[in-house]
Amino acid sequence: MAANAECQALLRTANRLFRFEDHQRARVLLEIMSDVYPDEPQVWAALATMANDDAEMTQFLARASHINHLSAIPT
Amino acid sequence: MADAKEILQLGIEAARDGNREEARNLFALLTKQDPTNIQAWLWLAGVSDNASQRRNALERALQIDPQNEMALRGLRALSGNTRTGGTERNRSFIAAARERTGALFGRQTPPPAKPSRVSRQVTEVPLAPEDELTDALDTFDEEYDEEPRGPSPLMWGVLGAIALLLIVFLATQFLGGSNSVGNFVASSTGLSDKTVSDATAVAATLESIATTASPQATMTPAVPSTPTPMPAMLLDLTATLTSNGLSYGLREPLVAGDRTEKLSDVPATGRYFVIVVLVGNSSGSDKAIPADFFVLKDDQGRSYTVNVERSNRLVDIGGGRGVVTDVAAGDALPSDSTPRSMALIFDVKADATNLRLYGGGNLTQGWQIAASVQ
Repeated sequence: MAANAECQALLRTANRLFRFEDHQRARVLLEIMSDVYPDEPQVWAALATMANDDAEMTQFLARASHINHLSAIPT
Repeated sequence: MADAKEILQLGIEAARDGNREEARNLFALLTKQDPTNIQAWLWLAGVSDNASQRRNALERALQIDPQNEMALRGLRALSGNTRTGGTERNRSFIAAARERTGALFGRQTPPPAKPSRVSRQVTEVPLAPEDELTDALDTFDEEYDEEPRGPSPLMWGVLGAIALLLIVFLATQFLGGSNSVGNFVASSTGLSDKTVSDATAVAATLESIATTASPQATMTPAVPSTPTPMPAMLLDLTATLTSNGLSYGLREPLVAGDRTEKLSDVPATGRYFVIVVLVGNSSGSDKAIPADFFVLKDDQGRSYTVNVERSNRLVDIGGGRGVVTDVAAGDALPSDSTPRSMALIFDVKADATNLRLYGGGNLTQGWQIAASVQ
């Protein structure tokens, strides 16, 4: 779950762009989001859907998975 | 930065459409990514919803460009709006800001004056984005310093529609209508269980009135080639549903796409389409998700069930369980209520449009996944 409402709202915007076939801007938005919210697994997972190839997709999903696993470790 | 310009344009479009919150989020994102993006600061000021946020954005713009006409103009308008210190105080503030930021950046020469807004209005030339921004900065007090206003006509319409829905719901309940989705509990960000449960009941009732369909049993297998009406309720992408002790939801808001390259040893009849979901088991006993539990539907009336073999193959290709997803489709889930990610692969016809995902036989609530698989 993204940490703040702003990130969630931006994910919804990216999702809307994706659904309306505006893949270019969806990807750009998610790339910028990954700069600003690098610890949000949802952003990386969303980026995976925009991957240009399987290697990129695996990289994005691995990043999301890594963050999720880190957050699951008790402190 | 070309990328930032695209998002800036996206924000401007959102502002034009009256979606100020979305615009605000987009401009704020740009300022976080690049704090020297003066256009983003100015637009953020233009769509801000309170004076302090606006002032802060304008001051940041002035730090970047101490002579920026729009920022100065916005601060002037803002000062006029406060109605507490008068124009003189604002002039002092602007002078101080100019001096402060000018000292930092060493700029002294003011930019050429902008054309008068009056001439634009006379010739009725469509406003350029800069002009829209100028208007937004100038009209702050008109928008936000009015006395509180009553609901807009649109709001009255929405309230009327909600009241009508409630009346229909209460009438059908009173006449003995049953809730066909009573087994499902939706939870979604910002909504209490009761709220969602009520909304679910209303949706189910409306669905039954509209289609006179037979009651939907849980875990009903997909019936191919049967046109399905649009769902009564499209869920928020973060919503989670439960059915028979299984909870399920989208793994991420946007994990959908076709990946055919590495699965090409068994070609799809259409295109492989991947959706990652989160599933949890709290039924009291370990069990696997049935292959027909999840159903993808399109506007052409087709239903698609999960290709378990291909789904498992994708997990193997990605490095096994725990790498790309926690479990593979068909794996038995321990009854520990822990949500686990699972990749589902559907073989979707290439011309499919408006794909919606349903689970647990509940066809009244689904997630809108994609407009197409292209």
